[in-house]
Amino acid sequence: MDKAAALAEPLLTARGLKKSFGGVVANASIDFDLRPREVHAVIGPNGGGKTTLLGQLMGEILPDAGSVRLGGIDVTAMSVPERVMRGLARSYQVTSVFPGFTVLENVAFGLRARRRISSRLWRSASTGGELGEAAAAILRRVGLSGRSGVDAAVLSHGEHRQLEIAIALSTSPKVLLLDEPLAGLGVDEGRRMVELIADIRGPVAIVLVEHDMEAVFALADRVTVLVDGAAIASGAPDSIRDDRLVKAAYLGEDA
Amino acid sequence: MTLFLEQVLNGLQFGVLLFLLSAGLTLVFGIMGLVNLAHGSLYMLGAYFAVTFVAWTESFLLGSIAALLSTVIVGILLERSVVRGLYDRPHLEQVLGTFGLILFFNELARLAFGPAGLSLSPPPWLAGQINVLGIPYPSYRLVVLVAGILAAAAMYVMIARTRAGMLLRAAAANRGMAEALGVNVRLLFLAVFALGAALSGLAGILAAPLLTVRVGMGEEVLLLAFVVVVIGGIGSIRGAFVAAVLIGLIDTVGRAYLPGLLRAAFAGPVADAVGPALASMLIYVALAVVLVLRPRGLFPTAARTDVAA
Amino acid sequence: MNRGVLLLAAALFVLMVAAAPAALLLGMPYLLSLFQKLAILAIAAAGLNLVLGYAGLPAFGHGAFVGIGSYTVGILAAEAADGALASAWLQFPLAALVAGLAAALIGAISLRTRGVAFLMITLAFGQMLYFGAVALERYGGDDGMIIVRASAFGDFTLARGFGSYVFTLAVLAVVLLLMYRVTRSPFGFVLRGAAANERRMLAVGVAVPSYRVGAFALSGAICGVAGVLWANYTAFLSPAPLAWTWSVQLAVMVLLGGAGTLFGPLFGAAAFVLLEEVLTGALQPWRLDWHIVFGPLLLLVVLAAPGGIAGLLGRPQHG
Repeated sequence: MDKAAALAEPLLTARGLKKSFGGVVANASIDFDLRPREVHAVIGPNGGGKTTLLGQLMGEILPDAGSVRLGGIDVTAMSVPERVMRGLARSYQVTSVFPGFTVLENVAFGLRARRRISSRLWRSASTGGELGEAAAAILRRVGLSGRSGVDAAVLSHGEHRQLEIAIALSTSPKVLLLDEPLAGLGVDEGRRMVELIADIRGPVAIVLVEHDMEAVFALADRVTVLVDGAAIASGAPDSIRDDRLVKAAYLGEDA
Repeated sequence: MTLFLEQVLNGLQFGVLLFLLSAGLTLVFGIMGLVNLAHGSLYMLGAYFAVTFVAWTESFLLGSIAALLSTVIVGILLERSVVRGLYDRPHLEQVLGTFGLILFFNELARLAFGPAGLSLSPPPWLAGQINVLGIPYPSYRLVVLVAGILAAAAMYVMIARTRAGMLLRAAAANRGMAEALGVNVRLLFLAVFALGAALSGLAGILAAPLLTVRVGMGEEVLLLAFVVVVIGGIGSIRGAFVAAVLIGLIDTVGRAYLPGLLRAAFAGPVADAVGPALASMLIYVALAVVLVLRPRGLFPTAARTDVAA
Repeated sequence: MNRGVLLLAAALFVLMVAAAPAALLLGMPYLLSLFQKLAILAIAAAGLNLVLGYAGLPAFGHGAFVGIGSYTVGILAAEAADGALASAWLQFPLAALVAGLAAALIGAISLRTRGVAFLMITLAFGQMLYFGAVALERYGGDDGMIIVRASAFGDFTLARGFGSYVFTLAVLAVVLLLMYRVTRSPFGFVLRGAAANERRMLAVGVAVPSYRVGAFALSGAICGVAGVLWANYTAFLSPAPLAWTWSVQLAVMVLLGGAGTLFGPLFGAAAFVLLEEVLTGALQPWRLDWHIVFGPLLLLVVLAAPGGIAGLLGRPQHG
């Protein structure tokens, strides 16, 4: 497949996604796509439907209507684990790790799932050998090397955010959904997180939900603005920055 | 037809008793998040108190009132002493702790009231039969039915129309919000537990003349009450009422007719043996079916159930 | 695992092994009987612990799987008066298979719900099987019936006695070894990880429900094995183990000993059986039942030592 063809076929496509929660419309017919190697940022005010969109792409929230395609295959009816096995992964806005397990073990869950050895009953769940090396490589990448033997429950907030990314990477995703990776981080930590995402991008296409505009404009190839469950604008970062509608609905409030 | 009508009335009467038991259970579930196995013990105590106090006062009404008050006092003491410590515990630990309470109360009852079963006669003025839709029906059972419906109606008015009810609903939906509204949550919890104890005790008192009062009677109905709560939707009073009547009818009518139907279909000793057991199974089958079709019950509430993934 | 837990477990094992010759020499068969009951309950509780403790699912119907094991023995004994079906080679696998399949089915349906509803639906399935057993008039119905023929491996009978006691201890050891391996395997890690964070476990590509159904099947099969031993121990077929109070008692043992720990079920069963013995004796003069002390003790455990006995001995560690 040549480069032009690869660009023509998005990795992830959503068409007409609709979701209401007890009469409150969270997503009103959203079209969305993500091309190979792309970072596609989703911004918008709180309650705009960003997390609901991620949930529907991931399969955690069943859409009322619409479809999701991953790698050219309709995955609308697929469970979360089935989508993960096809190369989808996500991080969570509120840190979601495995407390009571070491940092290394937190990453090993996804590695084992990917290698389809999670269901072994008798053999010990060792984190040695190739699996241990892969886990160590991921932890090195996110900057948690020194903490691999520590219980994930006792990590600092910044470390939790790093582990959050490490767990998402453990399944070797082709498409990564990041839900506010900078949430609660200080300036320095935030800069390192942006560097980490920049390091991941490329082989991994990324949907980035983020409030930090500096990070968004530093990373995104394309930006979509969600307001009240609808995509009011979508395009290159510069065009979004200059869009009057967007300014009025969103950026204006921040500025 | 006459028999059928009588069975339906019996089913309804059983249903309202179940509702009295379940109402407290579902509120305690929904608001405090407590799985209270000891709820059946309050029912048992209500019945024992009724037998005792009716004998002392020689008046059914006075004795019943004393029994009700006593059960409420036990409920309040129970909440203050140990139950309060269980609210924020995992369900498993709540089951362990309240199972301990069952063991304790059963032995206490055996000590205080003796190991033999006791019986209570309905008051003389309710000993006869009354004509309902052309069939003779025991007056006392009818009074139980009416009292149960009145209690349900009073609960409905209290919850839907009063300020206390509003706070209760707020707390059931969102404890944090209730606190923000300035509700004294500790007091509210105590009140809810006491209300549950009162309803459970009332059920025990009303049921006392209909059965043998004995140790272990609490566990039998407890399980039925749990079935009602879960079918109705945890935390939903309306759900508890619908489910209680449904279970009362299914159980009573099932026991009365299922064995006969089976005999008609499969004549012989097999049907004789299987019939009663199958009738006992019916409500559990009903529970399983409802939960498979509607995992959160008939009337799902916003009450605190574990978050679905 | 910490030293206190290991020491207590070792002490219990030594005590139970030493009880065999001691009972023979001192002529105290009663001691064997007591410890055999303890061991059988520990096996069933260990099976339940996989679901209740490690997977964190509030299952309250496991008595039914013990019952299935017992009925396997009772029915096969009753159906072949000459003992043709009393082979333990047949009964153990059959009981484990039937109980495992029943548990998988019940688990698969129950796992559609969660929290209190899950607790209730497992109780409800237990009650259904209980009434199903009561309906088996041919096998004693409500009253139960004497099991005329004990299970046997060839000439080695499981009827109550020295041989059967040693065999039960061996089964307990094997079951604990199995639990040790399984809970430290990738499968066991998935169960424990999903209990800690189910959503995330799904999001790393693990089909959590299948693993939980698997855990149900395995734990049901272990309870089925305990049921075969129980039927031989009591020599009586009764629907009692299927009743919900029996299931709750099993869960009480797991929680009392320490849910989600290897030796917790053993500690819980030991506490339960030994306290019953000691307290019943001690309270005899006042004609008090042991429950009057045991009940408040359970409350105390919940309020003061939620980790159970294993928790009291030291902080449990993962891995």
